[in-house]
Amino acid sequence: MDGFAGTDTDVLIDDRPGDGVFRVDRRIYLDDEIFEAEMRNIFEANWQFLCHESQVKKPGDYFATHIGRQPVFVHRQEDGSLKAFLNACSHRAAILTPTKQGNAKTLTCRFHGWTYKCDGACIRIKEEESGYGVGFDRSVYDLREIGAVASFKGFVFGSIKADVEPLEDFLGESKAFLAFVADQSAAGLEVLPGSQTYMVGGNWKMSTENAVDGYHTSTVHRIFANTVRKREQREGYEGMMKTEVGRLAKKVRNGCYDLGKGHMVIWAERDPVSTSPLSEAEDKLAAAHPEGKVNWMLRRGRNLIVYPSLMINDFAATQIRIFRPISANETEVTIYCLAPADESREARYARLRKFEDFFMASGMATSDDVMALEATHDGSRGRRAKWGEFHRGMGTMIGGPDDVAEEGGFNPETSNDSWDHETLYYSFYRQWEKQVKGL
Amino acid sequence: MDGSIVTPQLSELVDDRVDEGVFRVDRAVYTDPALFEKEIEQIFEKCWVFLCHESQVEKHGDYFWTEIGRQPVYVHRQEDGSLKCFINACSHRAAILTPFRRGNAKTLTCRFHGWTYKCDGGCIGVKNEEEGTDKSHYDLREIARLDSYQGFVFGSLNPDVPSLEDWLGATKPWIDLMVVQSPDGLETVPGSSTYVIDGNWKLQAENGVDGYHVSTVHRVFAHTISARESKGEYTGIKKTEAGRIAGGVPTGSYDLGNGHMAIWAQHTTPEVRPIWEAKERLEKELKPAQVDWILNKGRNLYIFPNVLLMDNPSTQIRVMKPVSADRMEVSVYCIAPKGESDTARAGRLRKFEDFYLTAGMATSDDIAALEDTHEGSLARDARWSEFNRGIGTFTKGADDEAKALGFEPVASSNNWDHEVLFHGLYRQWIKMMKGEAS
Repeated sequence: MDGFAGTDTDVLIDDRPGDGVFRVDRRIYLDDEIFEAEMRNIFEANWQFLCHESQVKKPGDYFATHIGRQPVFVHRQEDGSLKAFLNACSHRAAILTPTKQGNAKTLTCRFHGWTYKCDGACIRIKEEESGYGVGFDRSVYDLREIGAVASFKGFVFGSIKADVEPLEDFLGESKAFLAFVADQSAAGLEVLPGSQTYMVGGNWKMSTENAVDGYHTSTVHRIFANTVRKREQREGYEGMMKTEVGRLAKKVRNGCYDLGKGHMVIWAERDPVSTSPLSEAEDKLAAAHPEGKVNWMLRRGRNLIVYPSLMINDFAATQIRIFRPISANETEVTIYCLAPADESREARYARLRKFEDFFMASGMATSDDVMALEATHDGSRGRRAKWGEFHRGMGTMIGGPDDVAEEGGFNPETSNDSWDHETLYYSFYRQWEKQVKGL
Repeated sequence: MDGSIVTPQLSELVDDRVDEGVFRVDRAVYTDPALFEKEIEQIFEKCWVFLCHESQVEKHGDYFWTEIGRQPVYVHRQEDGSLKCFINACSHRAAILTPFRRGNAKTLTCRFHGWTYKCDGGCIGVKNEEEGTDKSHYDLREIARLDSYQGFVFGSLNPDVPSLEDWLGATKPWIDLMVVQSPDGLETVPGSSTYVIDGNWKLQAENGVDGYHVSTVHRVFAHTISARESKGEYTGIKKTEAGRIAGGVPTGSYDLGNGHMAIWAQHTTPEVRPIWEAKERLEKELKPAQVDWILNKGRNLYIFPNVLLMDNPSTQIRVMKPVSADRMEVSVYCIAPKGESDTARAGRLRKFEDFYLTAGMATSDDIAALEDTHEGSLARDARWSEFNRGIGTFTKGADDEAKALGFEPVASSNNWDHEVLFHGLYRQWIKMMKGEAS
């Protein structure tokens, strides 16, 4: 596996916690050669999130996405299992899925009319006999399945390479946080209709960092907090229609975890819990799960990054956010609202409104994030100011779990007692460097 | 399988094993930026490239601005009626000199610092010139070679190319089939359409001579036209021959050598073609085989690397400009026999609009297919595009149809669905990429 060539003396990640230093060379956001190595060694060589099972529910449902730069699609089989294929006709490479998401028992290429069954078998070649003779073996043109597909609690992942560790090993400690979302209802989760896709003129890793950066919240989202508070006073928003703006401005307990293997999470206490759409399920949750887990599901908001670029968010609303790297300078972001399948209309309504307020590019918070990320990318071009700093909170970092981690039954690499702190990024950048350099 | 986006070795890109029934092309040829850079140097800047039609630069001072690869050039009609072609860049600071894509100017004055050049490229004005300046030092750079065949003008940045006629080879009788349709030759009709396709330029080169896609991609076109015509408003020359698109007529395809290719299909209703009005004259003036080919066979000709000449429902010059590995610019011009009747010209133009304009009903579907193909080519782990259709049935050299007209293809196929013609395209391509031929 080829790594980033660079030079022997290139230090991309200056990883010296013993000296109080953890910083990254800002060229990691800009360099085309590093980007190539990321595509090859990270995105196209490991598990990547593809979709949620509710997006491919019935036989024939397909979902088109990308692994790194390669187009792929997930297809629900007749027997209920999932397969994923490279999204390219075996003849001349045309994309086979007519829309991003849909239902088709067979897929016919728009270009020369070849047809494939749900299981990838090439079942029709237009004018086959005159082109290939009688008795031609069409199976040589079956679609190429990707190396591996598996799902964990409804979250579907795939890898182009077959030779990868089992999905659950890859997910490691992030599994607990996926469960905190997935176990919120016995009826399971569903991705709600609709999505939004937008471009950020900045490197994908900045978006990944931002997703679990508590420190920016009180600056970048101050206006969001003030605006929402005023609106709620004026219009008399009550209960779960209220956005929990207290958290953005005032002190509640919060923290961050380096979950190991590049996964990371931040959390903050909900205040008040009654603003959460999930609060209506409090009794059911208490009956079904240990108290510690209910505390994590209901009483703490959480942002999770599953390495390298999936964000699962459960704060004001619930969200799947996918960062798709286009080039060193461009990231395509797609967001979906995720919700317990059986919640009340009232809870669903509140969840959607809060999703729109905060998470949509047309809302009042994400737009500020995008500005900050683009400014950060631009500033990284100031090469004489070489380092991005990640040493905040190094002095209060503890190895292993803190008290609330123990309550949740997960075992982070390190814990820290403020979501402002930056120690959660260490295994992300260690994992990243190892893979980019092909070590 | 490592999802590699490292540029593959040239020797691994074209898997040419016809004897084993295999001809396939690594999809990196469409997507890899490093290969694209090499194409510009090794192909577009090394061989004859189509520039324009003589009718676009008819009179003294007429100029036409286009590109060879990525280098801007313009063709300029001289006082003595000859043509010259220059790099379109002021000798001072490189600004483009032609104010429009096409126009008339006996001298060109740079918009930037006001330097002036004569039609023959001589620098005749340097603003606030210092005394004693030898302006000839700043004469414009002529391109290495310029020539035309039957009104089609080609240029080369590389002086070391074969004669244009040798280069065009077996395409010449095909070009002639368009030119001899009028004793006065051809003219490009005013107006053009330029559009961008998010896909590699070779996808358009293939598509222009790909009969196999027609019954899939243009099915909706065929149905729409039949439905429209069945309403009775479209009769005679206004009819488009939708029957051919659904298949079931004699067709064929040729590898014409040097990367050139052609397909044809029999017209089921030749009397709706604009040229039908000239039948009697053609029969008097031309050989029977030529008349048959002109009237009864719709034809698409690809001249390597950048132009398609089409004579199907209407007649067209289509020029491809490579912009980047994943983007091309296409310009289309309607070309017609001089002196045809108003009825024929109207029929030709309406059919041009229906099929060939991006605002029409067919080209838009092609573009969607080509963009989907480019996107799918990014699935690096599905590596090969297949070109083996008809690999077991082609004829080496000329078939009967080719013999009748009198041209010598490298290979003939009796079906425009077949892909043997593309072997010539990719053999020429790989040869030039390796620097083995021009």
